[in-house]
Amino acid sequence: MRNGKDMNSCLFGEELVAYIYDELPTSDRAAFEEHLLDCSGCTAKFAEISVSRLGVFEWHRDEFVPLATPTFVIPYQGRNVAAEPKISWIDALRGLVASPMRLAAAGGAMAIIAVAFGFAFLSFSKSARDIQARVPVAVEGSRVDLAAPTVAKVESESQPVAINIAKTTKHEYRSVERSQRVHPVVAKFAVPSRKMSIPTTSATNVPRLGNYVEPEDTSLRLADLMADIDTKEFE
Amino acid sequence: MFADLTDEKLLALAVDSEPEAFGEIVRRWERKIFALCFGMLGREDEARDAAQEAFVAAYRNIANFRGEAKVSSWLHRIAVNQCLTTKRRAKTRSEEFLDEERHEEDRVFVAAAAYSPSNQTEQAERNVIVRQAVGSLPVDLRQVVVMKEFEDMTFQEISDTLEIPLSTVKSRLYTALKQLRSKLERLPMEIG
Repeated sequence: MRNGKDMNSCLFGEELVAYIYDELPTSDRAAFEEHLLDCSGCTAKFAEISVSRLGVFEWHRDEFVPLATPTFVIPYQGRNVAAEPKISWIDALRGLVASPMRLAAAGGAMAIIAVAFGFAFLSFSKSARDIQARVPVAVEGSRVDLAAPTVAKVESESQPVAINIAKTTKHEYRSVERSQRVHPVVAKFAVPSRKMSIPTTSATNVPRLGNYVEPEDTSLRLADLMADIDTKEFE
Repeated sequence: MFADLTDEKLLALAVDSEPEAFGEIVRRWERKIFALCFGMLGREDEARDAAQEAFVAAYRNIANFRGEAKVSSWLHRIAVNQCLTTKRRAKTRSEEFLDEERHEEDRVFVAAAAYSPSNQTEQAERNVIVRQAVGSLPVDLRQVVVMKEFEDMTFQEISDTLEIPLSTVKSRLYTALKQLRSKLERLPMEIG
């Protein structure tokens, strides 16, 4: 305590170390010593860090001071590459063609590189042509034969009735007779008529999956043959 | 030849054309850097190797010195990094503990011849405890203690070297000494 004050109110830590190491300004020194005599807290702190300081001092004195300074060897040839001045790529290129011999070598190297690139380009373009020639006609989008559709087009009048109904306003829908009403959901699945259309060559008649109609199978069936045989047997 | 030049000029000279100018920097700083390494590591052999490696590392990276800091700050930073690397390496060695014990026994035996028989063992034991206590301090605190005690630097010099405020140097040293006191409880109070 310092004259009844709390020890923490002194805040003399920095001054304490400066005093111990004799680096406190002379003007502050007298005031600090006066305070130290008066404050038991600061005196305790001073004693505490003095013991630590003395321990380090003695360790240094006993173990380090007698040691001779070792001789350090510096490998002057092993300096970092980064220490060398950087050469720009233009200067490096100039250096390559500085002498006639180097110029000839660089020219030869460039010619070899150019020939290699040309050969590689020709090989590539030839193989590309071969691949293109092997592609089947069927997969080429530009060669789809519109003149021979495989699926017949459904006529426009066979469109579901519901489409027209759905387009009508609410008022119009109510005005339709009950017997004529078709629910939109049901109408959605209305079967179009099986009337076939003549295939055309127009570009707009491209076959669509939704319009596909399975043609009627008129081939001879086994059941019909058997029935015919049975009938003939009992005649 | 180089005696009149500042550290910064010597370094510039070493980068440009005269590698031997770096030798003058080594001569100027070798004792302090060795002291720093000894204080940080607590062993002569390790301190010697760390200081040697620090100087070699400094020379190899001489071109990376941009002149923003002082040469002394730069050297200290390299030396502290080297000490930390040495510590890490030593930690990974499994035989470290045994070696240290043997080393301490040797040191006690060698010291015994130099001092009077009555207090020789006590002093040697105290030194061992202090060395271990300093070694267990955080790096920033340990560095300030070593620079003050082993390199005999002023607060202002430490502040310039570490590039921290003067008040921070003092408060770090105060904290370090306080922490040391609690670690040195085993020391007899009649010390000094």
